[in-house]
Amino acid sequence: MLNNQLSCCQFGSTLHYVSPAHGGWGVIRIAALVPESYQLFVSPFACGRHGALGGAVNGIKDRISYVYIDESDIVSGGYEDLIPEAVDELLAFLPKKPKVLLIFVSCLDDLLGTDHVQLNKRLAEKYPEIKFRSCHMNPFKMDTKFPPGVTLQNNIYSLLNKSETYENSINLIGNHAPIDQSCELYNIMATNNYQVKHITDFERFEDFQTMAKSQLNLLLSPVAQYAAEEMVKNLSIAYMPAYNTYDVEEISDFYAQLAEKLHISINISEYELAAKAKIKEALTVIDDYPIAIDYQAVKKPFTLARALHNYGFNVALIMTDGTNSIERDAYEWVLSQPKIRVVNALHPDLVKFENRGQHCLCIGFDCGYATGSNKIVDLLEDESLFGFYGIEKLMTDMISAFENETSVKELIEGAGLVI
Amino acid sequence: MSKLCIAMPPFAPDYSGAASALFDLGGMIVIHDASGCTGNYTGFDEPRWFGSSSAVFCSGLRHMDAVLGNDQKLIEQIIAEAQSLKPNFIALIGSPVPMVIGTDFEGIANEIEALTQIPTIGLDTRGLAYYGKGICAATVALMKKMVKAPQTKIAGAINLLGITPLDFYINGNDEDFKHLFVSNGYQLLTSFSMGLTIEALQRSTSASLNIALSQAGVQIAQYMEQTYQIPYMAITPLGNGEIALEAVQKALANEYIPFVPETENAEILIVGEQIIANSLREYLQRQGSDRAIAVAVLFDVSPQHLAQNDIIIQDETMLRKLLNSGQYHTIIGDPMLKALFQQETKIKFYELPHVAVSSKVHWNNYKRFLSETMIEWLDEID
Repeated sequence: MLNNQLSCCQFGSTLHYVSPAHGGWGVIRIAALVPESYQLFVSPFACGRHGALGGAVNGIKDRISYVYIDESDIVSGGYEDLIPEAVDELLAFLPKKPKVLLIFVSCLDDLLGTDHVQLNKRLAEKYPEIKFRSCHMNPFKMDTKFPPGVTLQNNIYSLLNKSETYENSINLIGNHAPIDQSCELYNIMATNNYQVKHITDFERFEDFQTMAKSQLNLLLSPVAQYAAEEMVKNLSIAYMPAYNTYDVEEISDFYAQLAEKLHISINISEYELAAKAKIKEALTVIDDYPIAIDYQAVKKPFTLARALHNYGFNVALIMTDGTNSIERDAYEWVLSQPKIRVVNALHPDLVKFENRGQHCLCIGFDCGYATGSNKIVDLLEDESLFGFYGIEKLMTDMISAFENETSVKELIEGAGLVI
Repeated sequence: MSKLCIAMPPFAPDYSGAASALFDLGGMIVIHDASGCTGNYTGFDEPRWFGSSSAVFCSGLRHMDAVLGNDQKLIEQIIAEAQSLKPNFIALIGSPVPMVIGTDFEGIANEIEALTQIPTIGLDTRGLAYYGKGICAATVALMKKMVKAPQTKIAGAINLLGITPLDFYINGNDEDFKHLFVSNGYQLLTSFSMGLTIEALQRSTSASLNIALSQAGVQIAQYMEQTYQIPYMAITPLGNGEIALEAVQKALANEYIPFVPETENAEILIVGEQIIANSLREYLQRQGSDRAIAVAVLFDVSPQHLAQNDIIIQDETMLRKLLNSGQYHTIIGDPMLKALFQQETKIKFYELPHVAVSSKVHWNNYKRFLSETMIEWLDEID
């Protein structure tokens, strides 16, 4: 059983422990979703190492280059002039010109006051066939309204041009990996003659533009909320929050709202019954075995904890980097549950490994690493899961993880994590 | 000079080297950055990180703290965790943002040491230099802090310098190097930096000879030569280790003359770390290769260890031109160099993965420098 006596790892201002399981897609993988795009990083060389190697691990390094700046560039102010020179050199070298050049600057840029508007204007004048965007890999703004993930999502969708006409389609935004085609959402929308679009559907930039013809953006993560708001203003596409959840009632509510929004008819009974049956099956297998939930595995760990608890599972541990405004009620509920321990996943005392040797079924490999468990659900950022299908798949994976031992090291290596 | 790097990854930086050199010493290492720099180190430059209880942390530097110069938050966080972990020492390591805002690492270290009574060092690494500089800076700073007085010299005793995973990975090379010398009767006082302890660091000043196995080791050796009057030689043991053993024996007898390679009209090019590359060249030529061999140094350079016609790589454009110049029919280097070759090339390429270049992308194929496999691999090169 998990040790409930452990009192370490409180939230607050601490040094950060960076677990080997820490990471996600990183800006490079997310930016690489833009069809026919190329990334140019402008920073001290050190800032680019994790992205370049993460790019190599994930097979996209051939779309990423670097301009190294040094102290003299910063002091002399020659930094801004380096960028157009490097763009010239890069575009002359590349055998095929990209449709989009995403120019990334690092934390330093926020201290230097670079005029990115003028810079992009100069570049656009010289290369009118290419769209330029200044992007920020500046994690030291994580505690602001505009951390790198948020500004990147906006940069990506700002590439869409306003359409004069609209089609029967909806977009999924904020989720990096596509939702599995087995998800009921596709059937439901097809029944109503709607197409579901995601950025990964497109290999050509021209085809990506068809997302501008959609009637609605389903916002799967708060990281894309700012982008969604800008798309309301610039593209006249409304949005609707659809943060992934494994709570049957929340999913039912979502479909009801979607039906109302699009004035369509949605029948979910078949899918709901299947999900409930799978929950029952999983509960029969897993019974009261302790469950740990990882904030990197799902976007709403507190909501998942409450849902699993209500289904009858024994949720014992949540590892997270903080509270989340999109699930405040679930967070408050968890705090009222004395048997559920909440651990700060970044707390430096985690290096003591005091959670090791405790038996639990881990949803996500960050808590898998911390506990040393060999029962781990391989899940990162809800990838490919949504709706009732998401519940069914999660239950299937929980059963599989419970019955089959796995190596957390192999899972971490296979995830291609980028910070 | 072009600053554009199209195909190769950025190499391991100074702060990774600093943290790597201190990793095994039971200290508390804090990289002062937002997250990416620590992620570079723990995610790509420190193969020992998985499962390790070494205390390496990120300060979680945030924009407003940088703008306001709020060092107090950092100091309080470090003190709080030091009270929990009770480390042998504390090391605060710099990154690019602190460079721009002018963080006074030495001053902060002094304040932390005064408040905690724990030896503390502050390293002004900036992410603008290669890892060897960081390895040296961290080792020297700790020696200054921990070695109170030079010890009496022990005749024949040696230290091994510059053994970190950034050059030699974690596949047993460190133990092989130590075993080579110990099993041949040498008194090995200290091996820097894998497995290093504070006690071993303190007794290292008794050595009669320092052996630098990498260029980072040369940088440390030069400091120890100046400070503790310990002479040094630079060589990486390879194959059966005989060349290195012979060289050390001669060096202890003051009879060592560094190998002078044939480099005129080189047909073989070794691209990589300077001392490893030099040692490979010496091995190949002393084993009978009649071809001239040039070394192209990717990282820090010791001018005294450059042979005539060796090349210091300044940027990717220079490296690309060199590799495709048509001069070399054989090239040895990290597998990621292949991205620089023209599509149709007749060059024979021998892969020698290097953590400071390709990290986990290729470290599963790392060479065991003292092994039969290495001998076979070296024999294949022509």
